[in-house]
Parts: sequence; structure tokens; C-alpha cells
Amino acid sequence: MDAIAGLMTGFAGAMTPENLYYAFIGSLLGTLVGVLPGVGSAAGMAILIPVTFNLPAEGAIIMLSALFYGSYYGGTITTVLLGIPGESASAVTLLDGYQMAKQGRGGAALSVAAIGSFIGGTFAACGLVVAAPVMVQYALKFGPTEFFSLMIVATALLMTFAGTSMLKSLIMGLFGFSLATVGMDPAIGIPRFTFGRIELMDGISFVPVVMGLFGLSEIFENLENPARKVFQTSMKSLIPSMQDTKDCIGPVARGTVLGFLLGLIPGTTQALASFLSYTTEVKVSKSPERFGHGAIEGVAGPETANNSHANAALIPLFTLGIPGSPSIAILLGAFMMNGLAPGPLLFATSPKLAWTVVASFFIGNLMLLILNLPAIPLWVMILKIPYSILNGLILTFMLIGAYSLSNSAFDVGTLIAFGVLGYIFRKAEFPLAPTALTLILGPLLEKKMRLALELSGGDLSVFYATPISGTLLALAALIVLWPVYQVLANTYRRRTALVK
Amino acid sequence: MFIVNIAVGLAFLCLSIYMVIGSISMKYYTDLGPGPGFFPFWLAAIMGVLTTLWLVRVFVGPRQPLPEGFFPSRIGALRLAGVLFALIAYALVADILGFRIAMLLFLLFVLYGPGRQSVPMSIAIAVLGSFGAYHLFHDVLGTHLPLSNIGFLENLGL
Amino acid sequence: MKLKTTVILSSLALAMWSSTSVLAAGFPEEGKRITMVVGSGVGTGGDIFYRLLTKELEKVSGKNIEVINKDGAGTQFALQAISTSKPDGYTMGQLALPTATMIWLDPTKQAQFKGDSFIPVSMVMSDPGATAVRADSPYKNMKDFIDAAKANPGKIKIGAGARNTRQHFDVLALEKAAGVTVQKVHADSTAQPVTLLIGGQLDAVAESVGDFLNMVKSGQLRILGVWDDKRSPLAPEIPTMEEQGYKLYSGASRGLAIPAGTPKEAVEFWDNAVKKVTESAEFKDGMAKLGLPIKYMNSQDYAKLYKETEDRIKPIMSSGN
Repeated sequence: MDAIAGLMTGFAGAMTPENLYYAFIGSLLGTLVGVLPGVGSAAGMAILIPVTFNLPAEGAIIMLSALFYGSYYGGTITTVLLGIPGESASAVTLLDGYQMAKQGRGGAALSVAAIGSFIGGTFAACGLVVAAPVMVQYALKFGPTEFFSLMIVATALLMTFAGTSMLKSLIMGLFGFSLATVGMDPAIGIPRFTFGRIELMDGISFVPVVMGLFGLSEIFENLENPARKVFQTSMKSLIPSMQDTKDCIGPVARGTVLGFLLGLIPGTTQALASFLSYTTEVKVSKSPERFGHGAIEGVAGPETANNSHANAALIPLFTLGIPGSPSIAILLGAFMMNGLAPGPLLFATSPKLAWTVVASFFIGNLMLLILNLPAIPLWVMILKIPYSILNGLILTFMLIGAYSLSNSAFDVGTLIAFGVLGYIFRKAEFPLAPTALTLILGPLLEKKMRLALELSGGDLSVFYATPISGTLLALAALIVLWPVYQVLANTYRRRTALVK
Repeated sequence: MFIVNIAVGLAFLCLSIYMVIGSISMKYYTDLGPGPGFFPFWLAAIMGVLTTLWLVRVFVGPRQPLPEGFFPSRIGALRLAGVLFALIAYALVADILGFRIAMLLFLLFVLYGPGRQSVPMSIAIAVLGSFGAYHLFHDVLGTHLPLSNIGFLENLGL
Repeated sequence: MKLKTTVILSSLALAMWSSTSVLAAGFPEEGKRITMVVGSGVGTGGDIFYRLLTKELEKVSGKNIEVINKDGAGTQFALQAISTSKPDGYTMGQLALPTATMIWLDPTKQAQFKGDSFIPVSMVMSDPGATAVRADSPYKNMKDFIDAAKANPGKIKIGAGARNTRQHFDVLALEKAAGVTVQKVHADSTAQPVTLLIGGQLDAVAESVGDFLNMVKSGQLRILGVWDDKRSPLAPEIPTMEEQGYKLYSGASRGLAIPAGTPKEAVEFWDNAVKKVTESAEFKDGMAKLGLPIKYMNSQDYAKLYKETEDRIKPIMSSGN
């Protein structure tokens, strides 16, 4: 087979000392950039760009891609241990990961995340080798119409989250959707609910909201109760238990596939992949009530999905030259700066470079696993710092992270405001997760709907009359109606039993 | 808990009413589908209905007592208020004093006040968290952080 | 009494000191912080361009310049930041024409700045507009495309950038010039319409030459026409719109703006620095690698273009809405 032979020559190219070195530097910087809030993969890559001007093409691309997928390994660490999501992709991990850290299982959460990330990333790299061009052609058929219907499925999954109070969850979900309407509307481009603030034109930034709702409000709660022990740390729980491992097989497998498929579709984000993985896990779980209180599936699934997505998102770049996100656009830039045009001809015109880079993905992911696993005990040691000091440092990181998202004090204000709001919701026992999740979905839902309608010339039938979109909508209907049917069926059964 | 539930419920109700009123003045439908007012209107309307249902349930249902520790102790409340004050103060002065000085003051206050750390410890951590963090984020990683716009601080490079 | 005198004296001294620091001869002064405000998000094409420019400007001027990304609302955040910064020559930033002009002329954007809030320093590059189709598309040239649009009014789908942007107005101008109507599809990034085009959801896309070159090289796209009076040096085989009978010109230019009220010498200093940069071999090399054509314009010419752009767009914006 061509691909296998190509990959072999690729490994030969990627195993040279200098290419191993570039992969290592990229992985290391990626982890660092991921750990530090406020420095995303795009920013990290932008710092490296001047350096790559003077590097050989292979080295530059290997280093930049390792930094890109490596940042998702690192992002988990701050999210789980400190409750600060550095990027929107790791926001979902916060829901259960941070709870695990508080229960002294932070080490297990990080291990599972690293292993899941490795599996997801490696699988996606395999996908790139085996069947990428064919799959991407299919993925391109997944246009805005299908995207919209997928969002409806996600919303349906969310609606069936029972929680302690269905009504409260729904209200909080709608609250998130409402927040998502702030900003320029996608239909005719007028500002909505912006109160004349230009900072709100692009909508409310997601990361400071999540950081505030979850991280900051948690700190507020801890502050008012001086006697409470915040983190239990025990070194024993560094390694996932047998039960943990068993629990994680399903989520990791599903997360891998989900992240991979979404990664193929240009325009989807890692945040969306981890979101869908999380909701899927809640849906298929036999005990959904554990989610939000430190369920390891809630860490394994999303973390696997976002890494699988990150690696799979390189497939449209390699096969079509389409950048799905700013970080990938930088990679595209690195190709172009070296006179290469990623696309269908890349593997034909410069096979050595292409295969070397692909082989480096396997090596890079392995390096990241080796870099990350032994370091976990060290990271967990952070929690041994006396809480009042740790508290100060967490606040510092949050303030830096919120500010550097768009270099504006406005986001710092958003962080504080949502911290207070989150505190109030916690006191009133309103669940916070639905708000965060709908805030991811809201803007996408409306934008894609508008785009789909512009493409169809205002014909609403595209949503139900086209095969993929129609199937997805049917699935959404099924998800919503199934519990209703179950309730009805149960009552009927009981009645007939009574009659008998 | 009754009062709390009512208060939060009413707040949500106000929000939905505000959004419904706000969305009425926006275009509801365009020739290509929903306009800017479509989604806010329906979201807010549904939110209003659900909140009303919730409020009814709170009124009809049994009155639950406030959970233990709902109100923080005096010390706890003071610590909370102190940190919140410090956060707001930081947000307001960061662009004037620059990140390093604002963060230094913020950390000194948070660590020494609510954190009850000793003076040397507070100073050490505060310097690390302000000047140290600035070095890491700005000088090493190229992240921009707020700088002072007061003349003499600016000339010092802060 | 003594205290009062001290206060007055010291505030007087402070006032003199600060005023001299603005007016001081020999711009730029030692130890002053210089910032470059970039409105494109980190890692986007615009950001990489400005980082390259900044790097070369640092070499030419011998000063450190810090890049600050104020990403959002189509460079509006950055323009806002530039317009409210101190007019002392130490803060400059991204000026993309005609994008910037359209922001302050569009009332829905609620911009707090106008044309006279900025001094255009110099233009650095200009990328002409272009219309592209898939490589396997039946439209071989602009005429094929227009004929198809005439035969199927409102059926041909064309990616027209975000609403009220240069690309949007390009499509409107094409409709007017050729007497056709097409279905305009608005996207929120440059990558998105190209993706939709490759995926077969769109029939054509209006962007700039640089946005398509990579895909043209890889054999996926074909540019039907370049919206310029002469062929692009980066793609000399592609005919212009003018050659095909449409007097349509458009493009995206990038340059530097500095807040209004900045001393003349500062503007001249940066203009000269930019001129030197555009003549340096390293900058030329970097720009060629990025696929961006250099086009330098000095302060006077750039200011003229700046004014013309505003005069040209004003009637379109008021009639469009």
C-alpha cells in the first residue's frame, strides 16, 4: 500500500535527531502554553513564527503542529487543578475535572486525560494516513444546513439532562442562549442588547464567563467558609483505579470517533467536540446524576474528543488546504512561507515532507504522553500549597487569562460579574453547566441557520428534506420524545397490569 | 430558601420581559428567514413561561428552610467582600497603574488581609505574582499585559 | 501657604515636563514604549503581516515595538484603541482600507471615531480583489459567469464576505455593472466561503487574490478575474476585470494609522521607516513568501486615497441601508 510505504519513509525522516528535537520543543512549548491561561495555541504559534522563518520547512511545520496539538494536553492541567479553563476547548472538562481535584482525584483525572488525548490524537493521525482524502470529500458535504441540525441534536441532548430539577436546568439553559444573542445579529447585522458597548459587538466572550461562573464563584464560596478544607490531596489516587479505567473505555472510544468526525468538518471547534462528547456521555451513562460531581467519564470523553479533533482538523489542511481555525491558519502560513501549497497535490509534489510531518504527529503525541504522565505528580503538588496563597495565585492567573483574551479590561469585568452571578446561582442551587453549554451552542446555531438559509434562498425545507440534515433532525426528535414515550409506556403497562 | 427562590425567579422574569420588549423593536422576520428579533423573542418568551411555572411551584410547594451555612459567618463575609473589592479595584486601576503595580497591590491585599499570611510571605508571593508573572508572560511568552499610563511610571517602563 | 506654593510649583513643573515630553525634538525619545495595535486575531493573515512589518520596523528604527492584538468586530476594536491613544507618535496600528472607512460610515456599528480621528501614515501593501470558482466549474472566464447569472437570475450563489464589507460591495458593484442579480451568501471569515466553494455549496467567491493563490496553485480553484487595472505580479496569467470589459476595481490595502493630533515629525519618522522597510530585501522576501504584494504609498498619497475612499463609500453606505 502506498500510504504505509509513505509513512515508513516519513518515520525515517521524522526520526532524524533534528526533527525529533523540533517535535520535542514543540511539544514542550505546547504544554507550557496550554498550562498558562490566556496564552492559547494560536498565540504560542505566533511567538514562534519569527523563529520558523529561519528553519527548514519540515522542522518548522513539525514544531508548530506539535505546539498546536500539545497545547490541548497542557490545557487540562490548569482546568482540572485550579478551575481555570485556559481555552474554551477545556471548559467542559472543568465541570467534572475540578470536582475530581477537590476530592483528591486530580491525579487520576490528569492521567486519564493524557492517555485519552494520546489515544484520540494517534487515532486521528492514523485516519490521516489511511482514508483522509475520501473522508474529507464527505466531510465537505456537511455544510451549514447539516451543521445547524447537528446543533439541534446537541440542544436536544441538553434538554434531556434531568439534574435535580428539570425546570431549573431548562431555565439556566435558556439563560445561556439568551446571553448568546448579545452582539451583532447574523441576519442583517444590527447590534442586539449591546448597550452601546462596542466590546459586546462580537458577543459575550465565552472563556471569562466560564471562568467566572465556575472558577471564581467557587473561590468566593471557599472564602466565606474559613474552616473548610478545600482540596484533599492523596498521592495514592494519582493512578486511575481499575474501576476508573473500566469506566473510561467507553468515553475514550466515543470521544475519539466523535472528535475525529467533527475534526474533518472545517469550521467546527475543539470546544464543540468536547461539548458533544460530554453531553453524549451524560446521555449514555447509567448514572447521569454523578456528572458535575466528579465523574471521570466527564473528563475522559471531552479530553479525548478535543485532542482527536485537534489532530483530525489537520486533515482538511493537508488534503484541501483549508484552515479550520486560526492556529491551523498559522500552519498553513508555515507551508506557504516555504513555497508549499497544502492540498490534493501535496502528497504527490512533496511526498517526503508531507509524510515526515504526518509521521511526526505519531511521535509528537507519544512524546506528549511521556512528557505529561510522569509530570502529573509534580503538577498535583501545586495543591499542597496553602490554600490562601494558592488562592491569590489562582486569582492572578484568572486576571491575566481574562485580560489577554482580547487585551481588554472589559473581559476582566465580565469575569468578575459572572463570578458574582455564579456565586448567587450556587447559593440558590441553580445548576451552572446548562448555561455554559448553551452559550457555546447559541451563536453557532443562529449563524449556521442564517448561512444555510442564504444558501437555500430562504427555503426552510433544506433542513428536513435533505438526507443528512433530515436524519439528524429525526434523531433530535427521538432524543426528546424517547423519555416521553417511556413514561407513557410505563403508565400504560402499569394500567394494564392493574386491569389484570 | 423561599425568599431566595422568589428573588432569583423574579430576576429571571425581569430579564425575559426586558428581552421580549427589546426584541419587539427588532426585525422579526426577513425574506430569507428569521431576523434579529426572532430568537431573542422566543427564547425570552419560553424563559418567561418556565420561570413563571417555577415561581408557581415555589409558591405551591413546601417551604424549605435555608440550608446550613447559607449566610457566611462574619469573618467569612468580610473575606469575601475584601476579595471582591480587591478584584473590582484591580479591574479599575490596572490600565492606570499598569499590571505589575496593580497586581502587586492586589496580591499584597488579598494575601495579607483575607489570606492572613505573614508580611514577608505576602510580599514574597506578591512580587512573584506581579513582577515574576509579568516577566514570564510578557518577556518570555510575548503576551501583552496592561501598562501604566501615568507619566512617571510610564517612564520607568511599568 | 508653603504647601500651596509647593503644590502649584510641582504641578507646574509636571505640566511643563509632560508637555515638553510631547513636543521634544528628536523623535523618538529614548526609553519610550512603542506599540503597534493590530486588529486581526493572533495568527490570522493580517496579524502575520503586521508582525513581519513590526519586526522590520524595529530593525530600521532601532526601537522595540510591542504588538498588541485588539481582535474583534472587523478591526473596530483596534481602531477604537488607536483613536483614543495619546497622539504622541508612540502608538500606531492597523489601517485596512476600505474596511476601516466602512466601519465609521456604518451607523449600526456605532463607531466612536471618524475619518478625522486618524492620520494615515503610509500604505504598505495592497491585494487586489478577485472572483474565483472551483477548478471544475463550467465558468472559464467572467463572461461565462455573467451569462449564467443572466440566464438564472438570483440563482447563482456567491460568497460575499461579511455584511457591509468590501467584498459585499464588490458583489453589489458587479451586479450593477453586469446587470445581473445573484444570491449573496455572507460568511464570517475568509476561510469559510472558500470552504463552502470547495464543498460545492457556493458557485463563486469574492475575496482577494492572496486568499485564493494557494488553492489555485494546488489545482482546486480558478480565478475568473482580478479587480485591478493591471495584472497581479503574483498571478500574471490571470486576466483583469478591465480586460474582460468590466471597469471594476477593488482590493484590500493595509497600512499604518496614527491618532489625529500626532506631531508631524512623528508621522514623518514612521513614514520614512516604512519606506525603508518596503525597500529592504528581507521584507520583500517575507512578503513574497506570504503571497502578499508590497505597495508603498507615502503619507500625502495615502491621505489622498484615504479621503477618496471615504467620498466614494459614503453614498454607497447611505443608499445601501
